[in-house]
Formats: sequence, C-alpha cells, structure tokens
Amino acid sequence: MHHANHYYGHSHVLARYCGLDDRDPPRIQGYLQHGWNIGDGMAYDHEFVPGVPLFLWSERTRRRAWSLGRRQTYVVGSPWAYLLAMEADDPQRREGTIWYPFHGWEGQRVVGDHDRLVDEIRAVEPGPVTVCLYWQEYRSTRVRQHYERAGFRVVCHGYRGGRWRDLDPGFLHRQLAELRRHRRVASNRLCSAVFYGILTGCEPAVYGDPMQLAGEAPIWGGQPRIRRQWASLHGPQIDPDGARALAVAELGADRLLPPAELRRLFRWPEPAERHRTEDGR
Amino acid sequence: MSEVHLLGGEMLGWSDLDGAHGPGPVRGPGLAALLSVASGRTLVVGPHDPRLLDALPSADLTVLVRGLPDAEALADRYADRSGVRVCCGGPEKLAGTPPYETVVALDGLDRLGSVEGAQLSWGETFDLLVSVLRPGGRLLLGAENPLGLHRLLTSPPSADSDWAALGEYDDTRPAGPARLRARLTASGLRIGDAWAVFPSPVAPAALVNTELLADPDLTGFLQAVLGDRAVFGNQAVSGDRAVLGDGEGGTRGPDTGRDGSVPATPLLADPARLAGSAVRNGIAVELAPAWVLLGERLPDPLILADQPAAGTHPGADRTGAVPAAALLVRDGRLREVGRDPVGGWRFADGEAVPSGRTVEDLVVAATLRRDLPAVRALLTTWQSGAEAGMPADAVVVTPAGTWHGLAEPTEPMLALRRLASRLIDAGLADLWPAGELAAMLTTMSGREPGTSADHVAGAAAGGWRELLSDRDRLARELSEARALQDWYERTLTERDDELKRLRRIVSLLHGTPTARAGRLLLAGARTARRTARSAVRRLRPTTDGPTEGCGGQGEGRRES
Repeated sequence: MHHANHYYGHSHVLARYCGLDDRDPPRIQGYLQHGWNIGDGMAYDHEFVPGVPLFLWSERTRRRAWSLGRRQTYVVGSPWAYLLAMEADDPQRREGTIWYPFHGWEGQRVVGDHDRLVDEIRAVEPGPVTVCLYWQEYRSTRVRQHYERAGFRVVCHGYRGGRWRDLDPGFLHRQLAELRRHRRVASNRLCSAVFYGILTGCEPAVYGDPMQLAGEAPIWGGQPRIRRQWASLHGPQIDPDGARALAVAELGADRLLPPAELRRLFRWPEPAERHRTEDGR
Repeated sequence: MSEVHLLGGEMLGWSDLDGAHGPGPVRGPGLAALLSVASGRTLVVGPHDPRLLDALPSADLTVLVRGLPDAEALADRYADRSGVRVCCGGPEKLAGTPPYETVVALDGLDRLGSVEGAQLSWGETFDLLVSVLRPGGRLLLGAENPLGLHRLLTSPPSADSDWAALGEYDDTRPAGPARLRARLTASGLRIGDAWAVFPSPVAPAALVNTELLADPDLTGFLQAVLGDRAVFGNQAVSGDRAVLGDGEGGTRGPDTGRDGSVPATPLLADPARLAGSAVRNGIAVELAPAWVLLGERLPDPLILADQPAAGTHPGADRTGAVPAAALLVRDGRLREVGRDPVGGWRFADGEAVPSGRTVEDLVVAATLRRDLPAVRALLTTWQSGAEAGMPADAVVVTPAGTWHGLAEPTEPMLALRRLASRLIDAGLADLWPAGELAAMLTTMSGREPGTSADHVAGAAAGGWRELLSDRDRLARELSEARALQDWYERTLTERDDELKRLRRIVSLLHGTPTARAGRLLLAGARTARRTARSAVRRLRPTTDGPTEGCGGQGEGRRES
C-alpha cells in the first residue's frame, strides 16, 4: 500500500516467492521495511498511518518498534533473504571486493573526501575492486571519475524507484549477481549492502571515512551507536562466522514465512494456477 | 555530569523511571526500609526510585538500568559520589563481574532486558544475579505474582515494555511463593525473610512477612491494614506517573499512599474486599501482588574448606540490620511491626498488635445468624465508644473483649454509612429491610438517623462486582415496586368497580316512585324530629345535644 514497498523491487521478489505475477505485484496491506534500520524499521521521513501493519525484517527490530509504541508488528524477514532462498547458489569464481561508498538517497548530498576513501580502499583491498555507486553518484561524472581514475570498476545496481515511478524489479537481481562475483563486500558504513553481502557468502569489512550527509542528524544514536553495538562488524578483517550469524538475525533469514502464510499476511490472492488446479479436481 | 558506563544494549530513547512506558520505578518508604539489609559492595539492577538508591551505602554502589536517559539522570544525581557507578545496558553484560556483597532487584527481573540484547528468561537472569553474589552476600529480590490481587481484578494494558514479555508462561519462573523459596534454596541461598507486597508491586503501602500474614489471630488486624482505602485507593498502577525528582522538591511522589487517584481501568471488584476475603481464607500470601525475598548466599563448601574459620567469610562482619516483619505506609509515614519476644507482635513504638476480628466481620456473622440482639449489642457498643467514628472494618475486637481502632476517626454517621454500603456490597442487603440500611443501622446503634443517611448507601462500590450486585438489588427492588404498583392498580380498580356498581344502584333507586315517596316521608320525619329537638332544647337548656355514642348514627341518618 505504501510506495516504499516497491523500492528495489522488493514487492516483486516477494510476489514471485508467493507464486504470483512478479511483473505486477499486488498491493501489500501494510508497510514493508525496506532497509536495514536501527530504529523501528520505518523510514523516519515517511508518512505512517497508525493501525497499518508493519512487516519487519528481524526480531530485534520488532522489539524495538514495540518499545517505541508500534503495535501490529510482524517479522517476515527481508526480501533479500527470500531472493537468496529462491536463487539457488551458483558457485562461480569469486574474486576481489565490491565496495559500497556511503551514499545519500534522492535529494540528499554526501559530504566527504572520495579521494581519501580511494586511498584507504587501495591500502586495504588486495584484489580488484568494484565500486558500486548509487544512481545519483553514478550519473555524476565527477564522482565516478574519483574511482575510475583509481582503476576501480564502477557499477550501479539501478534505480530504487519512488512513488511508483522508475520501479526497477531487476535491482536486487543485479546486486546478487555482483555480490556472487566477489570474495569480499565492504563499505564505510555498516548498511544493508554489507549484510546482503555477508548472507551471500562474502567476507565483510567496514572501514574508512564514514562521510556525512549534508545536515545529517543522528537518529537513534547514529553512527556512534552502530559502531558500538555492532563493533564486531567493523574493521578491515572480520570473523566471517560471527558476521554470518549477525546477518542471518538482522535480515531475518531464520524467520522466513512459507508462501501461503506470507500471502495471508499481505492479504494477497492465491496464485492463479492453484485456482485452476483446484477447479479441475 | 559523571560518566555513564555503557555496557552495550543500552536503549537510547527509553526510560523506566519516568513512568511513560509503564508503572515507573519501584518506590516508597516501605521498600526503602528493607534496604537496611544492604552492606558492602552493592549492585542494584532494574528501575528503582532514586530515593531508594539514596538509602544504600554509596561507598561501592553499582546501579544498572537499561534506558540511557535514566542512566544519565542517575549519573547526574550521583556526580559528587565517587563510589557510585551507573551502568547502562542489558543484564547479560554483568556476567563475570567481580562479585557483590549485596544485590538488590526489588523490581524483579522483568524490566532488566533491553530490546537490543539477549532476551533472558527469568531463570537465566536469576542465575546470573546469583553468580555475581559473593558467598555470604545478600540478595533482595522482588517477584510479581501473575495471579496477584492487582491482576485478578483488572487486565493490565499492553505496555511498550512488553516486547517479548512471557509473564506466567515463562516456565523457568517459579510459580507461587513456595516454589519461589524452593528456587532460591536450590540455588544455594538461605531464605532470610519473605514479605508479601500490597497493593501494587511497584508502590507498596504494606509489606507483611509471610509468617505474620499467615497468623490466624491477626485476621482482623490484617483485614484492617489491607482493606484500608489509603492502601487500595492507591491502586492506579498503570496510570500513575513516577517522578524522577530530588525527593525534596514540590512534586509529591506517588509513594505517599494518599494519592487517591482513580484507577486507569475499571476494576472487576473492590480490591480491599478481596484482600479482606483472602486474609479471612488464609490465602493472602498466595494472592499478594508481589513478594520480596531476602536470600543469603551460603558459603561455598570449597571456600569453607579452605577457610575453616567461618567468621572470616566476607558476610560475617556485615552491619546490615534485620528488617521488620511488617512495614506499613500510611499518609507517607512508615510504621513497623516486629515479633514480640514474649509472644505475639508489637509495633516499633511498643504498642501490641491486637488479635481478633473486625467489628464488621462480627456484625456480618451475627447478621447471617439472624442474631439481631447481637448485632444491636455490637452496634451500640461501637457507637457509644471512642471508635464510633472509625470504620467498622478498621476496629478490632480482641477475644478478651477490648476494642482497638486502627484508623483515624471521622464522623460516626460516615462510619455507619460505610458499614451499610459494605454490607450491601457484600450481598447482604436482602437480609435487611430494603432501601434504608444506613438508617436502620443508625437506629439500632441508638443514634438518631441523620437526614441524608440513606442517600449515599452503596456509593462505595469499588468495582464491577459491586456494581452488578447493586444493579441486581436495584432491579429486584424495582420489580418489587412494580409488582406493588400493579397490586395497587388492581385493588383500586376493584374498589372503583364496586363504587360504580353502588352508585348505579343508588341512582336507579333515586328515580322510582317508591323512592320519591320514601324521600318525602323521610323529609317529613326529619322536619318533625328537628322540631321536636328544638322544643326539647328550649325546655331543657342544660342538656347539650344528643348523648355520646349516638352522634355517629344520627349523622349517618341525617346524610342518607
């Protein structure tokens, strides 16, 4: 029902998981968490109507949301975990690092020194580096050139989409393909992409200047809190087993619902094929 | 501001002390008095009113709370006391810390865990606290009763702190006071004492140790204490707001027992009545809203073997006092009760605690026996004595026949009205003439009934049960009044019909020739009689009218 449910093709992934037409996913009767979050799972700047169910990624987020006064909160796990459950692993040769510099979203601007970041990446990463930029930065030749001049491969996963426009159902699929090509995933801030990478089998790393959004106000404790609470995920070398356990919990990969339950929760219809089969009996 | 030690898992925008997400911290002078058992290196876990913390030795005091704003406020409060260390985070971070001489968890174990950290069960948290208790050290542990009076009568609203609250479904939580004691014993703790807490787990107005509470001789006293409106009038656990103040400022804390605030949700029954009933039935310990246990960790057998001199273990030089058997808070003042060495119980000021039953119980029993002379004798004695203005449920009559008032006196008429309304609430209204019980009791007690004595009968209804009983009584009275009205109607109709029939006969007789002749004859006879009478009066002026006994007949004849 909320336009953010369609960000990154999330609703498309879940529709496919539920056996429905993923070219035109039905309306989710609720608000689906769309990114890793240290608050109640909701984007702080999104309009929220009380009484609308919240579909959250993890138990910890659900507890936090409850403590913040949210009710009708249900843990369903992240669309990324559903995508991985559907896309059987295709073991291919993994090489190098995919690096996600912290980015702003539509209308936001990052303040930071890209050249210094490039130096830090060079100092840490042993193999080839792919830098993935958000579409805003990707379109900026000036930003792209910082990384291209360093000899990094620069990619973009696509549009996030917004207000039902520029929806990009292929976003997560492209991200999955990229992550599976790389041995390591890294960023200057702990974020969804790092957790996605960990769950996909990459060794994680979080280091470098975390940069700032112009006018960024730390919500729920901001970066200092993230660095303290998830201290074990920060640094150039991280224990992969511990990281995986955390990623499973934060992405709710241990909490996935069977398709029938998810359809019931989202108030989605039964798949057409099933109707036909039942009619034929 | 002094430093807050962030243990991890701290909740940034959360406060247990401000009462915005729940009932506020545990508080009150009763609990503060229990803290006299604390000594040495002390750990306090969970939300405790800062005024309780003030009562603790501050040379080596660690306080653990989960909300960062609470931790910052406490650090600020104790900035000038170097021995106080304020920690913030989940209890799991305590594992492995150097052991403490005293561990205080008066709020219980339910409000320790953070949303961010591990969700420990009751048993896991308890074991954790015992593990940081030094052999010989003392644990002061609160435990809410899921079947306590405060829960039986209302359903607590869903709170923001219930993100994963298991409550009574946590099978590691010992159910009931006996299993709670057994759990402490099994963990190597000797039970020093155990108190039942009334009326709310967080702001108790009465802490009564289980031995005193189970003493059948004290039934009347305990009913008076637990049925006190000052105790149960302050039931608003979910609605009241604690104050993280300095304890001396203008904002009055909710621990004075005078709050009188209206409960946030309607209660199913008058809690004071249920408390009285629980005492009468000997299950007040089991139905207490919470218990507080004092456990002392037994010296480790291995340590004992290493240190044969038992006097050298760390607990031996403790200065902590022995707390009272009962701690009663009334009007903000604390009254303590202890064991009398020669038997029975005494207040701290030396006054003996009276044994026996309340006047109300005696009146009810006499009423149920339909022993009106006994009821009259009780009411008369009560209303002619010094306890006339005290509620009948707060006056104890000892087996020796002495009377002890346990409340502040008010107007005798108010006390009588209260008794009437409590008898009605107890469902005894139908044993008395309907609708005028207060006046009836007043008359029986030898007093003149006041003008407004009946207007407030039943006004003390404390919950749905009393309202239902009132409704049933009023419905019955209404149907009886309607039946009476029907009967009046019927009787009136019968009389009307009869009257009509007679009038018809009269009118019929009126028009016949015989009647006309009769009327003429009668008129002539009357005239003749009048003439005769006046003639007689003139002849005998001293004779005054017809003789007595004939006048009625004469009048009747005259009118017919």
